[in-house]
Amino acid sequence: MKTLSKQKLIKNILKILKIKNEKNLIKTKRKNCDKWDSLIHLQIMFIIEKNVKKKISINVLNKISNGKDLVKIINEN
Amino acid sequence: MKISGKYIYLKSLSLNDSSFVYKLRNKKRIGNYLHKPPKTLKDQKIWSKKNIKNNKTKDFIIISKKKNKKIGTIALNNISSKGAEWGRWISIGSTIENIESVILLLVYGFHNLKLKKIYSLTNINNKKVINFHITTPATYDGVIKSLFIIKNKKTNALKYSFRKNNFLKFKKNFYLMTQSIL
Repeated sequence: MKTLSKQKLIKNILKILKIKNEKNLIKTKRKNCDKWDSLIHLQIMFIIEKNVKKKISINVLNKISNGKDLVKIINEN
Repeated sequence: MKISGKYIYLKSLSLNDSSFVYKLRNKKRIGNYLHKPPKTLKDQKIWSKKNIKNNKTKDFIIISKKKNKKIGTIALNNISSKGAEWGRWISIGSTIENIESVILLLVYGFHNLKLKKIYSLTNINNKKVINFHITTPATYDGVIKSLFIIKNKKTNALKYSFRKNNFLKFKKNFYLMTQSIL
């Protein structure tokens, strides 16, 4: 898989979750977002893992509960 | 019977699981989209006993391998030569554990029972689970009107079906996405 830039990666996540912009993503909570079901969560983690080239542990995957956490993971790498 | 996966395993429902199922079904946030739960543990035991004997139903308890703990229920019902309905899916495990429980149930249906079609009927208001079905390669088969009575109100259901080919695609994608997750 071709590595995406951080901005493109966030853009892809916005598209998957049908969220307008990064500002709204940061405010989004997984439990309140109907689009953010378990399978979508797994897909997002897969895309991030492939692009930041770092393994995401099952604990991290389970702890991510909002858009802020997603952006943080992307920016940390 | 035990069906084992990477993160969880399914074991056949037994009467000893009644207390766990009763507590699970009576959890407040879970009850919003389901049929009325049994009122007492005794009612749950009667329900379990009836279903264990029923050849057209196969109920499982989901067990987390990591925690060695019961995390949910899942079942095939209305089993016939044509197919079955999958449901009674209440899983409070992690994301991956919850999804793998569906995969293992479908493995049982397509490989062990040799079913041709396995469908689900989901409360139209249960948006997260509806989105889950949309994300899988299952095909949308339409609306079943007034299928559920939730809090004395008739509610429609959406039907999604798996056949062996789209199930295998789903299974392959799941294990591809989780291959590096430890």
